[in-house]
Amino acid sequence: MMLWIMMLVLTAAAVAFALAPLMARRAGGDPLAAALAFYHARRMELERQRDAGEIGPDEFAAAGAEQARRLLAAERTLTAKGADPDIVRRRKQAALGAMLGIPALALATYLTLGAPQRPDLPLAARPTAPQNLDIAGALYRIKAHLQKNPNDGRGFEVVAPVYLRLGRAADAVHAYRRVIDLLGESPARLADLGESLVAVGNGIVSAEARQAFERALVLDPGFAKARFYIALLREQDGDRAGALGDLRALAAGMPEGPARLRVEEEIARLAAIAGEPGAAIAALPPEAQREAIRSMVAALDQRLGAEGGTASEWRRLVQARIVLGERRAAAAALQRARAALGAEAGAALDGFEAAIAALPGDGEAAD
Amino acid sequence: MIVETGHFALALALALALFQAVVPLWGALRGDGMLARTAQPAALAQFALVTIAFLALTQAYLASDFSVRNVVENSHSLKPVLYKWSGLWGNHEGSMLLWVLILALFGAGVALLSRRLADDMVGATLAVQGMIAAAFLAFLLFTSNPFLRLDPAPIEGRGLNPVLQDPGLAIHPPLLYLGYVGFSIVFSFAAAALLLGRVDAAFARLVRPWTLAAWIALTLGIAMGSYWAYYELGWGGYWFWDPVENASLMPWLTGTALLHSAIVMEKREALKTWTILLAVITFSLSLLGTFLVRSGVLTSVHAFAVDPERGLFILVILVAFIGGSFVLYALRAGAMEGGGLFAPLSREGALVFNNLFLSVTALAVFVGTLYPLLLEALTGAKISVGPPFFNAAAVPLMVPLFLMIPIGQKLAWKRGTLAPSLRLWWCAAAGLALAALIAYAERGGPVLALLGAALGAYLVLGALDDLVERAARGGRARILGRLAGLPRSVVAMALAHAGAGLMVLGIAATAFETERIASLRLGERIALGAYTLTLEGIAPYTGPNYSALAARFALHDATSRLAELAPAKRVYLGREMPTSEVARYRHGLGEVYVALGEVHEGSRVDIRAYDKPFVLLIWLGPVLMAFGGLLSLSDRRLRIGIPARARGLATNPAE
Repeated sequence: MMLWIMMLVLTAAAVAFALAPLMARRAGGDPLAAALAFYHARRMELERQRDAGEIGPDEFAAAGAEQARRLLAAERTLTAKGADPDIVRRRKQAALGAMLGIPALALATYLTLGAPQRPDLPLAARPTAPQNLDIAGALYRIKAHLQKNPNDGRGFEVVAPVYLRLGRAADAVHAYRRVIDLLGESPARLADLGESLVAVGNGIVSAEARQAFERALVLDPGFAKARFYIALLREQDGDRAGALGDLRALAAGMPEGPARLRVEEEIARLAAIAGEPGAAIAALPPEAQREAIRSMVAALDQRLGAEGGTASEWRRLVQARIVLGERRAAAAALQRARAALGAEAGAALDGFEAAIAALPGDGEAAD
Repeated sequence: MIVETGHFALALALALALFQAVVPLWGALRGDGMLARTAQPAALAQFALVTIAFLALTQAYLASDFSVRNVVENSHSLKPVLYKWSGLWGNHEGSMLLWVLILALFGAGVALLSRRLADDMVGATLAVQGMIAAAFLAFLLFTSNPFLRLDPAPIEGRGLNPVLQDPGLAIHPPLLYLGYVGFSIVFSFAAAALLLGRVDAAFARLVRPWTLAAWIALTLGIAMGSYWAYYELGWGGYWFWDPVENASLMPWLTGTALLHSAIVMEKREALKTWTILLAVITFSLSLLGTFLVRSGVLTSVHAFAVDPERGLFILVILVAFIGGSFVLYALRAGAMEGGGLFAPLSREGALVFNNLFLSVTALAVFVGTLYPLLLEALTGAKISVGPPFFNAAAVPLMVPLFLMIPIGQKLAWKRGTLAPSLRLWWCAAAGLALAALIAYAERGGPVLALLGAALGAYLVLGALDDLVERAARGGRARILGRLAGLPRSVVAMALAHAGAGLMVLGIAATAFETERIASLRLGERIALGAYTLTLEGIAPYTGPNYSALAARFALHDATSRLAELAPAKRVYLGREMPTSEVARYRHGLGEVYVALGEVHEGSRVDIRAYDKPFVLLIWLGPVLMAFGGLLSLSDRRLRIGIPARARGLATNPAE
């Protein structure tokens, strides 16, 4: 409402102001009078210069004659115009045009482009409710906060997993290092640091990451995440059987839950690569073994579909489909992974297209 | 409500500008003074409305209102207040709003300061100004609207380009726009004079202060931009012949010519058609600059994010105004009466010489700037016309111009003689050339720099000589009193010409600079002319919205430690692009200048270091020129040329 009043006031003031000269009684300066006034001003300036001794009488005469010639020339061009019979009609037309035209044009333009219903939204007046927080904005605020308070360990602890989830592994490593520097070591912090380092290396467990996990295990020999990555490290070093053994031991001691599922997926993957039947699966006939592995992959598939997951989880799903030789399912999983991760995917999904294309025919069809 | 009020005020300003473009002109052409006078309140109201819009957007920036798209794209809640404010015109839409604001400011200025003018002249002038305003308001509203809203509003903005986070942004664009847009008033006066068929000394008196005001702002704006590039971009240079720099130089050159030809016109009523043409050309070149920056035809530090629609819109505006005014000129110029006559060797003649050389220089810059663009558009071939071309084209044109300055200001109006003493000047020049030749033969040293320095000194001394000579006209007694009593316009001329001389000196001195590019470890030192530079440390630090890595250098001369220099690299929040912070140490009028390159393993740095003697003169010269302009602007006496009489004739039959 205030806006409409404001618009009304502005428009009325502008139109009234612009038309004001038409209401005046006095005519303005007419061109001939202005030319005369200019001549007199120059004549006086010349006289002043003569009296001040700046120019001599000869110079004064020459310049004065030149001024007079100019005035005569100006008078020739400015022949007075006779009275104009249309003058009143023309002014009425102009006034009417302005009174209708200016508001109409201004309003039409504004209503086409403007958003009269939108209030101002200065930052200070905004609720910082969670639904208003997009991740990038939130991250930015924490970052700015940490730049001002570089010793706020809690802050780094909040921001680190966000980085990891966004695929900014190097930033996550930096943040976890700060957490450990500021708040001290704990198995969880060390393992998280290691996990970030693994992400930096695109899944390779580096020497640095290994140190972090080993240190975590020194503090708590049973710490699951550290044991899990140490097991993967064994696989990386070529000891696939040992890795499988470690993982099975780990899974056996874990409670039911997403973490354990994650370990079992890894077991299934390793078992599938090795072609070695898993301990639980070993007892089953070959057909049932394949079925068991499939069901584990399907469980992962379902979970990712329903809850979403990290880039490395999606990566594992696609990889498992490839290992099982399921060409169509692998391609579909890859597509879903890309859709779900978007820009977060980073380089995690690179190279799979080629691997899928290289699969012989369609696994499902061969079954 | 504030944002939307601003938006509406802008739409209302457009409607009012159309009124201002039509009704007063109608009155002026029909001889109805009252109708013509409606231009004055319309121009004032338009200024008020655009100011409301500008303040509304300023408020949105200061309060970080992220429901406004323009604020989101160019601001950030953590930015220092100065940059929140100046960030408004650090982008296309906001700078266009500033453009329109300054346009309205000049319109209001004419409306206020023209009470004594003829009604029809005021009406027609402001009507043309209204047309320009309407065109640019429409451009602003329909293609570059800074008031568009976002829903939902993001919680944070994207921040301002780090290069622009500098106090320079608060000064350089407004000054430059004051210059560019100031010439629009001159253009409007010229178009009105053509429309009404009246071009005379009164017109010149009217136009000259506006020309001068625009010229002062443009001079300072360009100098400021050059200085900013020098200390911000870290290349150590002051002028790069970048197309956008050229775009500002061209109207400056023709504007300078206009300033001088308007003097001839006011004093002697000569050069009328030429002055009108220069007014049209100068504003056309200002528009061209706007087009180049915003159309996307070139990429540079200055080019804004662009889309073809905007480029086309500006091109249409450009063609309409330039084409329209040239057609008007072609139709009416023939009808203008010739003015005072003058001999070739006279003050007028010297000013024609000045105009000729300035215009040809502008033409050379024009060709060098637009030819590559045209060639690419026509054949697709990419060529680059760089400093070698511009230096080769501009220097030979500027040298005779500078040589003429002290001679020209000694010539009498209408007909003059070269004083016999002038012949000795040729001897001095020949002696100087010989000295340079000997220096070259013996040392191989920089001869052109030597001659350039001599030229600069000649200009400064010539300007001072003119003052002394004028003061000495009434005999030697009381010469100091008369020196102090000289008209301000005379002192102004001397200062402006001396400023040009100082700038030439500064440019010539660049040949004497020392440049070192080196890679230093902690504790290592390099020699830089008479100085040594020692790397003492490398340390990170944190600013309000950036983090930085600074290298700490100690600067010594032969005897003592002079200063600590800390060039740095900054990384701003939200933008990962690093920017370089140069460190400088001033000695006299020169500077030691250190820019940081790569930092290796935290213990070795690459640097570029310069010792630049007299470098500050490059910018102090233009500042002095602008000060001269201000002084002249403050002298509102009537300028009347006193014609020198032909010897032995009582009257001149030629008149």
